[in-house]
Amino acid sequence: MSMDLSDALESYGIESHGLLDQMEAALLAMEANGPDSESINAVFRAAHTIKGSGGLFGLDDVVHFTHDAETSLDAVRDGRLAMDGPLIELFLKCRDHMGALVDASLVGSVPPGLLKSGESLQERLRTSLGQPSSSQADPGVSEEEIERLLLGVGQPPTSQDNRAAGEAWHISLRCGTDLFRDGMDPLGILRYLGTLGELLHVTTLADALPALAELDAESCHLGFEIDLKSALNQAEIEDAFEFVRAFSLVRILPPRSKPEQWAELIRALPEEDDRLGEILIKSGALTRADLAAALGTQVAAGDIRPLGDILVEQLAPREVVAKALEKPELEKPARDNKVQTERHVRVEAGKLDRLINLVGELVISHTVTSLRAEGVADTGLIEAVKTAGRFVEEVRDAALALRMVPIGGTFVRFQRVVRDLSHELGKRIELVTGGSETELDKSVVDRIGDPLTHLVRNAIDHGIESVDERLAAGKPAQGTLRLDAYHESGSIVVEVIDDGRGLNRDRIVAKALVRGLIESDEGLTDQDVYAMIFEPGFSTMEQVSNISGRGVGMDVVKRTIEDLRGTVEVSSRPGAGTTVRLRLPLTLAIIDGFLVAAGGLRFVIPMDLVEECVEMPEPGRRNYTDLRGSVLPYIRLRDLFSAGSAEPERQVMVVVGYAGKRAGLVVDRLLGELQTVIKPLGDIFAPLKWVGGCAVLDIGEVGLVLDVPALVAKAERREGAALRSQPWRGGIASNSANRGLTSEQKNVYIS
Amino acid sequence: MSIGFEYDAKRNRLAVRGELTILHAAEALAHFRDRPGLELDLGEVTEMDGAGLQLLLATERDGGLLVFACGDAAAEVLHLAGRSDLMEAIS
Repeated sequence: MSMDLSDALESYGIESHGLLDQMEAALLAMEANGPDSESINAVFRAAHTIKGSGGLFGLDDVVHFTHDAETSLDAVRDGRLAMDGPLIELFLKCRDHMGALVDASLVGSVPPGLLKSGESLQERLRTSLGQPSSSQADPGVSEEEIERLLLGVGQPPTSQDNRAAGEAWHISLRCGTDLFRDGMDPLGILRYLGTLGELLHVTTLADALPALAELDAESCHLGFEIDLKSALNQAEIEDAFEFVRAFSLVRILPPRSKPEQWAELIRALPEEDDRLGEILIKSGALTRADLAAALGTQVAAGDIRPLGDILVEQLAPREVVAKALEKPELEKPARDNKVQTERHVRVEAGKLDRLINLVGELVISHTVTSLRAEGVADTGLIEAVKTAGRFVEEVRDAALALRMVPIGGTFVRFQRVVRDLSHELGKRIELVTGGSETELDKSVVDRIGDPLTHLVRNAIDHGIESVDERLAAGKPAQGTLRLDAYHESGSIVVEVIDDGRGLNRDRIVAKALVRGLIESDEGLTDQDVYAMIFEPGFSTMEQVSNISGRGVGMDVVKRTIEDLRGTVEVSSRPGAGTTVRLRLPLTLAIIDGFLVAAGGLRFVIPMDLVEECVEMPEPGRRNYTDLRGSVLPYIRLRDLFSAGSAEPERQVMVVVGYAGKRAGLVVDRLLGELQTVIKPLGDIFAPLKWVGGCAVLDIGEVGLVLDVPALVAKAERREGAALRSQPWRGGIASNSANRGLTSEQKNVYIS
Repeated sequence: MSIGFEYDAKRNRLAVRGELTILHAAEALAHFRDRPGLELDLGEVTEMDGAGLQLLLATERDGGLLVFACGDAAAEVLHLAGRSDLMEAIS
């Protein structure tokens, strides 16, 4: 027999890291803007949930450490401890430690070294608690009194209040049958509840257990009636059930609930009313009189709600919740947040990939169908195929959108990187992010994290100067690092911009000479020189720091981005800063294409990159033409692919643009739009540099998908080379001026 | 990670050693079945979870059960679950 606990644990790991990210964001926000109750609450809730769920999985080391952090956070929440700079620093360290503990616990045992460093953090937490801040609670109020206030028992007692557990929360839990199989243990929840307060009474119900002969020992049939005395609020108690509530019945009654509420609870639970009543009386939750009152009420009759819901909102009267909460208004955003997260479904990435692949096949087969339909003079069929095409397109977009995630989540991670690195280096750097809502494919997001980290570290280490150096250069003491993202003609552009010292041309040239990358820098533009920083083994820092400067990184950045069919550009101005621009395709596989024919071959041009189609104008000198007054280089696809057939009388030029550059592609005929899936070509076609892949057009027939960035770069280079060898240098200047770029801003194309 | 059983047929006594947990629940179930009035020695149980507890409760309900020895691990679980009464027979 084998138990697979990995799925549930894995989702615990993902969930925990999500919470830790929220915690980090809240801590950093407080460091920047001073403490606020909302952020403190966010930090507390994150720690709280990690602890609770950790307990559920029996991750004792996580629970143990997080408990101490939570104790301190509780003190902060109560105003007994001030969230100042050193404490934020300490909590950031604790946050990292929690992450390490969670990771270590998930793969096996926690190494002793990690536990040791945890102990020193715990010691520091305790020390900070030992020196309460000035804003501590009025010493005239005793602990018990605070507790009484929190529990909302400060009111004069009513006649009903002489029951034993009347001031306790009552929790009913009926475990889902798969609870054990999912790697969870209801006893873990009980133990955790025990840490939240005092477990007054627990009744374990075996009512749902089948006879021993029929029992499947791995199914869970246990039920629990729990009375818990706790000062926590409803949301916090609910958190204990975070991982079980989807498949288990969980009901939580706040202290001092009304008979109608008990009646509803009793009706909602699967056991007989009488049996439950006896249990509740025995546990002290209800008196016999209460029970009679509850069962006598007619409310909620016929109003049977689906099991498995936690009807907290209905069950908990507002005023009770409000009394139990110290600061009810604080909880609201967090609860709203929670509702939001529950609207999400976590889906295994493999399933999404399969869906996308199938949609790809659907798109291909529809393309084949519609091309065939056009060959048949049946308007009804063509109509039907067109209609189907519209839906295929929508399905495609919807499927691709499933994998689109905002890049903001990646950007946020850099707040911490920037903060820690600038502290370490004694620099003052502010991170500004823009376009966080820009969405791109999850697989792309996952893969640009490392390259971005390299670039950010480089900018902080090499780009932005120390405070003294900056002041001496007449710059503000605080440097700025900007991360920006935006969409541009079918690509997403991510920029890493610093206002540091800029790239040093002389130094790069000197290094390149030493490395033998070039023989002299004659004729090299600044951009050509800057591009060399992406060469393998290139590093200009005389002193290798432990942050960057080992010469590994920039070449890896370039390679990773190119693997994603993207490009890297760098531009820099001495003394003013450096911009590294990553340009990535929006989606990886499915595109809207424009089908053209040249020399008997069919080509697909990504639609997003097509700017216009014009009749082939009078050819100019060499391979450029005049398009409404601006110079446009062009390429004849016939020449490129050595097409054999005779040239037609009239040709068409498709103007494509990429990364601010334009080029014309001369073709024989335009065949219209189509959706297509880019399929990779085998290695044997690798020398065909201008082809990005192929697309199935019909059974047994393929079109070549043109690699427009490569073609544009080729046209540009050819034009440049031609112009340089001609007495036409003025042409470059006017050309550049047309695009509104100075030579310094002009980006070098790395290919 | 293991579990061991020793059954004394004369006294209908079963001694469980090691981990009475979900990992071994199916194995343990076979030892608990068809033995009404089983006497259990949990003295050497090192770990017990909800699945172990469930086995005990199912056995108790079906044919009766007497726990005559109990180690710390099992005692903690029974106490937590509000079933300390199962340990009453321990002198």
